[in-house]
Amino acid sequence: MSNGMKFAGQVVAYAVFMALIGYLSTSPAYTHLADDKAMIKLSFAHYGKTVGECRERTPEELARLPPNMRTPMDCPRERSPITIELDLNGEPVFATVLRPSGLSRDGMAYIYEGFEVPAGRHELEVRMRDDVTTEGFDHVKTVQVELEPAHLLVIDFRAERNAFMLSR
Amino acid sequence: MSNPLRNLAYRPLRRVEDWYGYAFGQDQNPFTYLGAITIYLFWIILVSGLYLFIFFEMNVTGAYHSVEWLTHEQWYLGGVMRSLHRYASDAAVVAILLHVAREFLRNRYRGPRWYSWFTGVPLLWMLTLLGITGYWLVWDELAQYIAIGSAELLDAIPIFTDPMARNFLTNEALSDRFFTLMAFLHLLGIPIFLILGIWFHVLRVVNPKINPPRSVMAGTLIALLALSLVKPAVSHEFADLGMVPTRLNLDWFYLAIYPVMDLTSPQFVWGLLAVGTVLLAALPWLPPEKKQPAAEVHLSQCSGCTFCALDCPYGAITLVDHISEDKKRSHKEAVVDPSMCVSCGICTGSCPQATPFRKHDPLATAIDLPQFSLRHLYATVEDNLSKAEERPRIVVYGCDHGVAVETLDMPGVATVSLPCTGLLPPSTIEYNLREERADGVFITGCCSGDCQYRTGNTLVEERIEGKREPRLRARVDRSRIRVRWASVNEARTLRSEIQAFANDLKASSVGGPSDDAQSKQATGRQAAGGDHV
Repeated sequence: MSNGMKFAGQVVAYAVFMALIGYLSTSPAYTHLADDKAMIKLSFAHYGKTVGECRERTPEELARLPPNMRTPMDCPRERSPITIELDLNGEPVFATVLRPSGLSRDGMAYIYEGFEVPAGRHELEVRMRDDVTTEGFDHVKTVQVELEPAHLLVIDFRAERNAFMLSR
Repeated sequence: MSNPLRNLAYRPLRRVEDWYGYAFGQDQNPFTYLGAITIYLFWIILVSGLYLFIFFEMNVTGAYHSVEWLTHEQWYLGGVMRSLHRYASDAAVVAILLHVAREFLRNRYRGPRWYSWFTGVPLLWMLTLLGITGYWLVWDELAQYIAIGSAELLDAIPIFTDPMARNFLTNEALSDRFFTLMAFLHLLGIPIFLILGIWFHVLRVVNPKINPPRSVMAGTLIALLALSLVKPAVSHEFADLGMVPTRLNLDWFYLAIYPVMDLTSPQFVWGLLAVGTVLLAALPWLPPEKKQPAAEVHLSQCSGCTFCALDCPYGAITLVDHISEDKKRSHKEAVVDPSMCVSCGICTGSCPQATPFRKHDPLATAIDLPQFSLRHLYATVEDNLSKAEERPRIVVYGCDHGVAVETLDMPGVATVSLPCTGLLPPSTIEYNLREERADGVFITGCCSGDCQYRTGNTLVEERIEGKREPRLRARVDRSRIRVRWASVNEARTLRSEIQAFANDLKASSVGGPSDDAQSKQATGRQAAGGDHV
């Protein structure tokens, strides 16, 4: 093979390599969310209510405890599991029961879920039960929302306000 | 994978390799320098990355705008550096994937080579993480998609309780601390582990090829620069956590796992990665391979010359003090570590005792392969030469990994296949050419720079050229020796070259009566084609 041919061959070889890199570095384009879709994310970190009531320890019980652990009240650590449900336009789209974190089930319960929905007007209802000692849902929020294409609606629960909050 | 199946799978890649070999020359074929090219690409990534870091602002809004400024306002340098940084990173993925595929298909990952294969697996992870963290730092829509995807992936590991993805729920929730963490990982943490990983990867390789040929380095850089100018790397829109990225121009070399996760689940991706990693790491033992016996040292013959230890491409031979019977240290002696020996026989070729001109009967060498001894070699050559009656008579030495020597059989040709041509002691060539045993010696084997055992063909050349011990004596007529390294696809070409060699020998009247007289006549003669040495 002549030097000219070799040089031409090298140019072609590099061109093929660079074409592959140049193409796959950006193409084919990936559609993560269709143009007519929006997204709802339901996410919060929340402490359920404690499962049992505190009670006063008897003098005998206190005497049996080491001196540094003789607190007069005996409070259960375990917290309620949290029931969460989400309806969209009257149809249930999500329902689950979240277990509190931690070995003693005394930590927060967490959720992070995303739902693709058609863009447009929707009625949302989100319900939460965080106390097993009572009946029914403790927190309910129903709201009409207008979702633009590609918009993200976040449903959060803020402990300081003790209510669901929506942010867009 | 069985060898026929492996060869079948390797065939398409070998065709591409051969084509690159024609264009670049066999000794500069980029396919034989894939590991070295990857390291070279890391240098480009490092230099371009350092330049970008000078201008990079490590906070949520500053990051995007500083990269945009570099891309558009300082396109002639900053923009080019950014593109070089990206494309060199992508090229590194291609080079590594080809490197892995090639070593697998050529069966160069088992036995003593398990170490390099095994230590290469974490490098794949590090490279991927380096790429992902790099895209994260731009903080555009693509970075947003990667950040949320990565957080969701990590959240799928049951050890985390508080979902990390909650940090990317709203623009207000986002913290600059993530940029500090990502910048630390991308600029310092992962690169340090990567360098350490590369060091481990080549630790057992004697004289590893760290740099590709200069022409390949220059060509690669020019090609990357050209691509950077033709298609500059650009960002997506600024990340907005209130919106969901819709259409993304993904870098498929690094980010393909995210669409897979969208289609399936984070758990599926973890499963895929875990199974893939374990399978890849375990490949050297799947299925267990029957190991060839390691080279054996015959201490009675060993003079402690060190040639075998110097030539062994896997560092399997060390020299230790020889303790004589009277407990005195006299000289050194070779010791073979069987766990490192690949049974190539290069050590036999390097042994100065492996010569038929010694007065030692039977023929003996200080280091030998039990399954392909020096005695077996001589017996095979003698036997095959006795069947080749036509003149000129040519001994063709090939190797088990190059063109199958049986396909080169023709009248007057005696073929011998060696485990590696590096096994051939130079004195054997001289012996073959003496006393009309043969009129010429033709040596072939794996392509130049691409020996199955790394250095066999280079060592043969250097020994014949007199550049390396044991040397082929100067009195041997070099025009009666021809060396031609070839791809396994080049059987037809080799046959033509052997025929041409025979014609040259005939024309120079070698193959006639007196060998010594011919030697004198032929000294300094050069025939057309092939590589004379």
